Amino acid sequence: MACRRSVFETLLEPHIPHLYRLAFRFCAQREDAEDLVQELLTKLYPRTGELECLDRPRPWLSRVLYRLYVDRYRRAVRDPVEFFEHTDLHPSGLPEPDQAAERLGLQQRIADALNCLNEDQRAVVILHDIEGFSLPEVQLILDVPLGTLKSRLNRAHSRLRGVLSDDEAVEPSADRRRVGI
Amino acid sequence: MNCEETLALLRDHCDGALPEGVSSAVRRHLMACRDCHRAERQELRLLAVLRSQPVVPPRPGFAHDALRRARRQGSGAFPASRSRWFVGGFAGGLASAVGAAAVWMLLVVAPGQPPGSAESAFGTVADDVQRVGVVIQSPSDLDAVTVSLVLPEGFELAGHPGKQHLSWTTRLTKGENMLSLPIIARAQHDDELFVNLRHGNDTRIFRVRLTAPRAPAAAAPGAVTG
Repeated sequence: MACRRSVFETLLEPHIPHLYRLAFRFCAQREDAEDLVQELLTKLYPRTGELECLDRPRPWLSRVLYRLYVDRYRRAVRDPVEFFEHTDLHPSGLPEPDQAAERLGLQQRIADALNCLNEDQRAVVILHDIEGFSLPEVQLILDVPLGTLKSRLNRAHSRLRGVLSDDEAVEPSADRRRVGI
Repeated sequence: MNCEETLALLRDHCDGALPEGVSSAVRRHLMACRDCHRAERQELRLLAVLRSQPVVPPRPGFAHDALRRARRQGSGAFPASRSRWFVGGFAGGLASAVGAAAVWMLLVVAPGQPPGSAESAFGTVADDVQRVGVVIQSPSDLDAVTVSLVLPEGFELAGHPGKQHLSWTTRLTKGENMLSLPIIARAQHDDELFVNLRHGNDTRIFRVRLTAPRAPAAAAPGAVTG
């Protein structure tokens, strides 16, 4: 048993940062991402022998993680709102206007646009564009034909580019932003 | 190579997935064509922004704890712990700790507004996604808080098209918690969103005025009542 524990940890520990990051991309919440990774590790422990035989574990692990996400979490309503646990409130109790404007920067708008994509498009963008899997690897993870993946990417990029175009069209200025925090 | 062919290969070119001969042809066209060059820059910029999306790091010691727990649960030595996925209820002890004296304050925050004025404002974040921000003052850390939204006709939450009722479980930390609701406004009229917060026997319902976007330069303030 001690030998098996060591093998399990040796095999999985290097992949946990990537698995957590991927889980966070899907779930968008730290606690959910931790739960998802925990579920994955618990499932994999009895399959330690199988893990030892993997030539390239990262796509395989990502596939199992994604399947777990789809089965357990995607059906539930994903917490669509963002909680900031440490708000930058000044003594009057309200954020400074500039701080609020910074929050709604391009990254936030892209994150919002990502959330507007359907789940199939979002998964491809997360795996390929953000996490850097090649399209053949994404094909393995999602079990979707290459042509379908490219089509989903095209539609997703078309929508996401709209956000960038909007950002380029105006002068960067805190005054121009109508900020709801 | 013409523009149509180049644009069709652009993403593969940015991925470095083209054979050398084809990639060279694409590069030559991009050097000569301003429009395609601009498209390449947009694609590269999009990829750069996507890859820079931040990730909230896990709590300290997460990897070690998760592996240890997986060993124990996977070997059957310990039963699987109740994760958030399977929470059907919450500890009664926690609810009683909050008690009837819990104070929930819901403020819709807009910059530049004096304290207590509780006004809402839309912030444009994308072509059709706008953000309504609310601050919830919680008396203590609370798990399994049920948030329910009832959206008016013509407004929806981004990522949940066509749904007027949404409910999910989340957690609040002691102090200020900021909700950022990505609202898509398809209506031309103002209306009200109901936000229901429930924890144990403590329930609060708040009304948040949603203001339909006007001309790009201005947004009429709304109000929240609870």
